[in-house]
Amino acid sequence: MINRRVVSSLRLLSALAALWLGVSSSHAIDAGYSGSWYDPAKDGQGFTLQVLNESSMLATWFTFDTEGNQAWMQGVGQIEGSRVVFDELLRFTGPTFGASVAYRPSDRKAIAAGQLEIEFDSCDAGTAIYTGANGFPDDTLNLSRLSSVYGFPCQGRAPRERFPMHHGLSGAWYAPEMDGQGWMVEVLDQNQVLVYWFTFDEQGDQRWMLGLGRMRNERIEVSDLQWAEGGRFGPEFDPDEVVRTAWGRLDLRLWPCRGASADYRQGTGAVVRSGKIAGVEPLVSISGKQSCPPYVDKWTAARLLDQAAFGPTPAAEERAYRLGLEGWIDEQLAMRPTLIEWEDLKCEGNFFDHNGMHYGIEDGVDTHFHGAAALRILDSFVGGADQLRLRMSWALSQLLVISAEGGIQEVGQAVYFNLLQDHALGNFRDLLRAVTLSPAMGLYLDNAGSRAASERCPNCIPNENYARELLMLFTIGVNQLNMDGSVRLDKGGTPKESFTQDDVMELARAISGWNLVDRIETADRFDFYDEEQACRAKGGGNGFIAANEYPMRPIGFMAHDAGQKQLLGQTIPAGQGIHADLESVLDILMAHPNMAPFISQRLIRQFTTSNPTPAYIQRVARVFADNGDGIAGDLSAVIKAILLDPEARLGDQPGQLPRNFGRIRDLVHQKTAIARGLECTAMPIRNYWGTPMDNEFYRMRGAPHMPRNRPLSSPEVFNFYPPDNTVPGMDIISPEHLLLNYSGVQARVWALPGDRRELKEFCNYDVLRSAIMTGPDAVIDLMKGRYLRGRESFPHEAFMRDYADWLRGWLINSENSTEDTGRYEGYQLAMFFGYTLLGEEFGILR
Amino acid sequence: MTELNRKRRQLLRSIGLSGVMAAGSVALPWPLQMAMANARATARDYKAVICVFLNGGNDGNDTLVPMDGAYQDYSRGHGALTLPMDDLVRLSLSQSDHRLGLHPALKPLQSISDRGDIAWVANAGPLLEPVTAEQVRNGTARVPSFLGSHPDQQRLVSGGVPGTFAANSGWGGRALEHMPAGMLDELLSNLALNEDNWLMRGKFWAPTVAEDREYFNSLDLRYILAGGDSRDLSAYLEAVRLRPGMDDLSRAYLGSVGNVLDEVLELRRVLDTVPSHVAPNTVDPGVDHGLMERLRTAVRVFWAGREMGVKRQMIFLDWGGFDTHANQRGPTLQHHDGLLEALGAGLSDLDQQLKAGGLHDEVVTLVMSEFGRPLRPNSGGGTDHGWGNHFWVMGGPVNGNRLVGQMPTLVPGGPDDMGDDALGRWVPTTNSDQIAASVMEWFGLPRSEFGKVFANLDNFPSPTLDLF
Repeated sequence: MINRRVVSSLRLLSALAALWLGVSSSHAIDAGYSGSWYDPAKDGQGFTLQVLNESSMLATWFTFDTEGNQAWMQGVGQIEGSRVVFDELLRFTGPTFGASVAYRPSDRKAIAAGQLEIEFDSCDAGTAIYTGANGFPDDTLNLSRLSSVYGFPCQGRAPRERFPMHHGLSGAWYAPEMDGQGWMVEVLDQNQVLVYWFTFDEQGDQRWMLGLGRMRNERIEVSDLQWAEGGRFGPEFDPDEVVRTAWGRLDLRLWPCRGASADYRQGTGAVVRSGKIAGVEPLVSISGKQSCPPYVDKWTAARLLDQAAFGPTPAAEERAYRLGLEGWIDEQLAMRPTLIEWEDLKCEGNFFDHNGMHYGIEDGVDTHFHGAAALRILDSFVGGADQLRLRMSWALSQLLVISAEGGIQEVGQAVYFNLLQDHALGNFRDLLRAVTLSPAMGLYLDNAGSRAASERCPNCIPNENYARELLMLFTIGVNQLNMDGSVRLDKGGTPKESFTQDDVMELARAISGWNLVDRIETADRFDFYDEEQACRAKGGGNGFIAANEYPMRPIGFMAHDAGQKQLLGQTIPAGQGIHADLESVLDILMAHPNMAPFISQRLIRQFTTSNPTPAYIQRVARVFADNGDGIAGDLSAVIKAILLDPEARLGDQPGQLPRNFGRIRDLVHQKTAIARGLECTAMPIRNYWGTPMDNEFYRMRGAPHMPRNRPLSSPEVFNFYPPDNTVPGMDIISPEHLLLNYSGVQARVWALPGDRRELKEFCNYDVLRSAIMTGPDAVIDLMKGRYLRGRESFPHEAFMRDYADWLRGWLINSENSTEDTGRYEGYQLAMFFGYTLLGEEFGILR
Repeated sequence: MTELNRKRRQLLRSIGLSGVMAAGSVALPWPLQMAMANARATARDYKAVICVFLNGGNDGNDTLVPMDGAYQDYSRGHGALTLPMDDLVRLSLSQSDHRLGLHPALKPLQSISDRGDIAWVANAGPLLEPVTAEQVRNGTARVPSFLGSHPDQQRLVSGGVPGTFAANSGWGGRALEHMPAGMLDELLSNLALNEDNWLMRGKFWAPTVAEDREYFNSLDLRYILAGGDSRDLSAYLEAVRLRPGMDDLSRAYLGSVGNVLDEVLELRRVLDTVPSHVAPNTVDPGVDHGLMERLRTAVRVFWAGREMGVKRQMIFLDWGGFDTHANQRGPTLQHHDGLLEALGAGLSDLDQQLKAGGLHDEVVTLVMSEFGRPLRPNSGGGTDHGWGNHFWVMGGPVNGNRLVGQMPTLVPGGPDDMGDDALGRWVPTTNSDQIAASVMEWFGLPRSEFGKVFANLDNFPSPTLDLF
């Protein structure tokens, strides 16, 4: 594909324009043939080859004339199998370039420079046959590869690593104002870039230079640019006659493309001439690779990290800035999952006492509100590298709900979270299988131990709880849906149901007969206190606890219903066995037309907006239904589609944000984003202050303060908030709006968990404290930079200024006090963050 | 700004009428203007309602159990879960063909019922029109969608009927919006304890979400807003101020956050006026997950409202995890037995607190749930999702000690079973909206407004039941 800008700039290569639209041919030569080539026997001259598309290649020959003067010639060749035919090479002369002369593009003249044919034998060898013109004799060169371009491996060689965003810079660059001269850029690896500059001298004769540059931030620095002369063109070319001379240095500021420019400095020592060429832009790129990715500014990087991660950190913003949005997502998709440790939790917590209250013991401390698994999950949200995967697991944990409130123990929660992490960016079908057989889900929705009626148990009825939620909440929902998420109505305008009670019962039969690996039946599964004591006595070897670790297994003893089932209009044949029945269920669910829009809509609401347009849902649902390779349920493809959708990206330009786009920040995101903004590596909650004697105190310090929103602690299987919760009196959906009740607002005000000691241990406490001590302006800059995406102003800035000033006074006073101020300082900081970030700028994740 | 204007500003904040806000006018939807005008002016026409919603589907079959010949049906169908006849708590019920008993854990309700303060409504549930079980079984009946789904049935029984004018609100909120003039107060008439819910959502009016725990510590919002840390944080309003041009999402967020902050201050001021002997807040919320404590809060809110001249108050609270798919028998709040014990204790305490506060003859309590459960247990020692269920209405104004409606025939596969699977899921013989309409009529909602509040009531021969 040829960039439109290239077509319009054919002034440079105008005579060759017709060839650029060449007919398609063999694929034998791919983008990987791009790079620098030369004949080792004729070292000192060479080609840069740039494959533009499957049928054309741009060649630039940096060489000399027969007198030993520099020459360069260019042509666009047609790719024919393993051959590229350049019907016409051109040399350009005329414009003058130098300190004392003005560059006039209109001075340029094209001179026919012969024909070229290159036959490639392999990725590394070929033959160039040149037919000369205008004083250039015929010649044949035996080509070897000098360099290959980063990101474009030759024929079937898979790229070994992920590319930094700047690999797209490879190609030709020029400044339209100075048309006729330009640069060939070959990015070689993470750091090195080979740069050719083809231009003219002060007399308007051809001049070329080259050098190896390094990527420094957004600049390519070529500190030792050289030119050469003395070689004589043709069969008699003698490498030894070539004299290389230092020319100076060149800084190409090509990335990000906005305002690309070239700074040069010719000469050394006292005789130095420098200049700047502004308005540089891409001319051609290799294989149509976008050479100028959308500029990622502070706002966009922070926004991506709000949408796809648990909030921005300075380092993560830098990474997104460096890799670009898609590059950042790709890097995240390849990361290994952060998993929660749980071996040490085997005897811990979330037991219930006889009043149904949580009862937990950890090192002799009452952990009513601790929730070790939830805390470790929150730690990973704050500090984990695989942010996108973790975010997906958090989303999936709100779709495929299990809950500590339903008696799932700490180990069960941790194992379940790890299961989500393992499958979060895999295939939804595998995820569903794992969830269905997971002990936590088996316990939570009672499918563990569900038995069919049989001669061994005539009165047994399969438990339908999991079966119902599997249909209603986890896969297809209650309404028949169109691909864009809209509800299908019957003639009377009533929503059509997607399943019936019979389907629930049939499904319950199909998945009957599974149970935990141990302690198959317990009389009273919520009374674990004795179990916990016994567990400790045995050093963690308690049988029931072990059941949390392993997937459920068949009970046997005719507990599975072997008969034929009719599920959602499909037949599951009799007698195929418990495992095959489960696969049949998964087949039927994955093929159901509801699943793609149902799951897509849920996930969109978790990541980008509560009110997606039907078109957005449909675009994502199509990817869910088919990732391009005919596979449904590819969650990596789905999340990429959600995040890179045009609707999701509109707001990268703040003025383009559609009305009502975004989602109210849930409490977990509020806490994690605040912690990440302070560069915390874990949630700064460690119970340092807690003692069993001081329960209020303990609760205050110990609890992640996120009522109704703690990971894996939903009050019911419908999650913390219904996915289609409407705002009273408004025509918009906002699930998280339900968290804006008394305790939810209180939790927002109590924004920053942890005391000074915890903040010091896990976060960049110093940057916060020094800003406060410096004064309100520094605090406002910090808050804007860390939490408000670099916004220039916001409405309650004056309020924040007053508050920061007061806080500074408070800290100074407290330093002179003999009182241990650590805990009160944490409180004051919490209130400051809470109130100053209570506005919609932070409260709503746009 | 006058008191009324200030309140309107607050209201607009919650209901998001942006144009009105931006223009600074006070144009409320007229029914609300009418209903609220001068609500606090004069006293002594006072009524209040508490809706206690048993979350998850209370097992009605184990709540109200026949003690006559039908006990045989009950025990045959209920298998291992059957409550022994000797344990049941006999109700004296006048005018009933049945001898009925309560689950033993509900013993505290016996004397309240027997003295005429509880009317039991048998086998009620959400219906679109009267149907017979046979019609349901042979597929000719028009029945609500998504039977057996918790959220859908919770929404339906709360009056949120998809595809109608009532789709996105509840009967409680709508009824308040259609009350006669001069009865309501914006802060104190439409309340939910602890969280928002379907039932109290009006078309325009969202409930005041109240929580009234007496423990104060330095992270409690009430403590902070009361100046507990010596900071004047009234400027918080600046951060949550609505501004012209904001979209709905901003106004939904800022409006609700601002409302909470406002309400915290105002509700605290109101509750501070309640003498300490009225429904004292000395209950440990841990014992029953807050039921008794919240019911006492309701009593204090009523006491304060009545003193201030508010004429009508309605409070919703939902409680419990009644979705007993497994292990129904047992003593904790994870078991049906334990839940009913806490419920009985809570309601009985409510009865005493209302009496002590002089509110007994002015307050009605409606106990409801989204659906009942099948008579036949599943293989996990629990029960799954059913349909028809028993409701009850409690309080001085109630014409009680009676059973209203028809007890189902407790035979799986029998005449009241909705399915051929013979699990014993009862087709309701009373529409739950008829119960709601009866309570709302007592409350003062004119019959002429029923059509704007209840979606399907016209399909039933009588919109109300004889409960008062």
